[in-house]
Amino acid sequence: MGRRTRCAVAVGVVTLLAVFPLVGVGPYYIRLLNLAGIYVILTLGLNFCVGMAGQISYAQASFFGIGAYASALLTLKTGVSFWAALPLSALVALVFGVLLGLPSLKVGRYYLAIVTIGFSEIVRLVLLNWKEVTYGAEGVKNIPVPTIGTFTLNTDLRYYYLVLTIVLFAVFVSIRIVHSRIGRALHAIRMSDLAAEVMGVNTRYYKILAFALSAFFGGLAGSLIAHYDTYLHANSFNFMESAKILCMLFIGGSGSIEGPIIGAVGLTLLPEWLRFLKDYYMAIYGVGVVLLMGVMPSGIRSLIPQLARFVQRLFTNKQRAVRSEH
Amino acid sequence: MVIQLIVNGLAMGFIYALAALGVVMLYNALGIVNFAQGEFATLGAFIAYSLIAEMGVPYPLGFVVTVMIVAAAGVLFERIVYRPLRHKHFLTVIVSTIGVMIFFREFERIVWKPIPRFFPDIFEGRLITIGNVVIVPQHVFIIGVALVLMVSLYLFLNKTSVGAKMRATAQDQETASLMGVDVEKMIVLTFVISACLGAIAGVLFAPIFFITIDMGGTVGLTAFCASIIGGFGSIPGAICGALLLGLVEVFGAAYVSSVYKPAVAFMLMIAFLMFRPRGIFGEKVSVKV
Repeated sequence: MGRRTRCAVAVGVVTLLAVFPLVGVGPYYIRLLNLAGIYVILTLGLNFCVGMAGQISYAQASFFGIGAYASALLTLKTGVSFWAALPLSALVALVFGVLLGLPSLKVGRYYLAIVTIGFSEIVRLVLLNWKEVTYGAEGVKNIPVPTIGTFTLNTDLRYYYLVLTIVLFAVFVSIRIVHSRIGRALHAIRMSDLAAEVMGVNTRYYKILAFALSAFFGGLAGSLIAHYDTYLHANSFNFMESAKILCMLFIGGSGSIEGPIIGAVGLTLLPEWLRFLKDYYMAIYGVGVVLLMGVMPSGIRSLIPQLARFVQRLFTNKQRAVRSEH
Repeated sequence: MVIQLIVNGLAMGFIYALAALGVVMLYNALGIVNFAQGEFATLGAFIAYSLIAEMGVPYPLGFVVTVMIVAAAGVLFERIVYRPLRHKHFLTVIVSTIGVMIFFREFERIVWKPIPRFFPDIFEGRLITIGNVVIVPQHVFIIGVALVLMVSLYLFLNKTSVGAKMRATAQDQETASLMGVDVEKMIVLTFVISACLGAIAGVLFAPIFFITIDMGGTVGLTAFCASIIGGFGSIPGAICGALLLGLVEVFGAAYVSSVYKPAVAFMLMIAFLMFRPRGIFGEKVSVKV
């Protein structure tokens, strides 16, 4: 695709996404779309660390939580507006991301997995028990809704455009990073960190950067969820939440841009389509993850080239048919 | 007070030790870490609850049947989860075990409903009093069973021919198969033993706390921390690490604060990884080339 076509496709997709909720989609579905958008940001974030750099992290839900709490507490306790709290909370998460990146320099694989699990458990317990700051087990209530002048983003539809903006920002940053020096360095580290080091990649710097980027995106998503739900509880940011984000990444296809998007949107909307399964949904989901990892370890994304070929064949056949008619 | 805490801590430690043995055996044999290990403990506790508390099966029989059922689950796990992923990337394996965890939890939620269950105390609330020291018999029972199991596992691995075959498989699958060892069978057996250890830990643990869906997850992760503290891959290390964790948890909860009890294992483990990454007994752990 040339630059022109790429631009045209991007503009088309953005317009479609902007117009889509206006045409008869109920508020409930818009809420789902908002949640899907927030998960897209989280999964794209995790993708830096896991998908690109190959460093396992079970801590994405913690960065989500740290961002959410930072944003909520900043607006509630210091009176900062949402627009300042959003980047600030992402930066707070980033600092914790750098902290968690440090052990990845020393240990890898299963050790890193358990360290990140430990980190997220400690974060959850601190959020849950540090009553003076986080309101403890009561949770944070009455988080202010963002406003622009006198215009409040108090409906699902209005919030949709805020989420969409941040999602587009996240996608844009991800694309730019994949095709940059950073993306290539992370890719080299995933292939072999020793080889990358030998080739002159500063692996220490890039590993920490991958964690920092993951955390930054996690923080953005956290701030969005805090001011959307206007209520927070530390236990929502637990191990299973991190596991869910990891599943989204791998089911979609890790390491790419489209994979995390497919995974996050798909797994947020899927329960709606599979409502008839009721209580069995999650059990079937668990089995699904296992089977998919066995059959299609690079995720649903690996179907795209096949699908593209199929569509192409469909088109060429049609053209041939049209031509023969003339 | 101190003696009671020691007994209590050792009992917890032995439960972690059983689960940790399962983790280490799998790791040594196959080089994988099963994060769903703790789920075997939860499953064991729930099945034992149904058999013993609800259906009135006598305790010893119920115990044995439970362990057999969970062993069967271990075989299924090997067939469905491990075998197709044997040569896949480790991240794929980790995500797959997340799927297993979700499945186990939801299966339990459907079958036993998300209500915490009380496991009846087989000692009917009796206590052992020696002077002014009061000891819960379940704790002594746990320590006893765990010790017997560990000794028999040791004898099995070191004194029987099947044990030798298992160790050979753990050392080098290819060479073992050239020597006529049925490697596939040994791998299944490793999974069975590891599932059984988990189940036994779960059944022993059940009367101390409620049985909940999250119970095994905590035990499994603590067991994993314990094996890192002890030195990953070392069996005596895993046991020592587990006992240390059990004691630190109990004493920490008694003298410092019980709020952060679930984080104690992780903090200790992270401290070990920072300052003595090879653990108490283990070899060097930094990433292999």
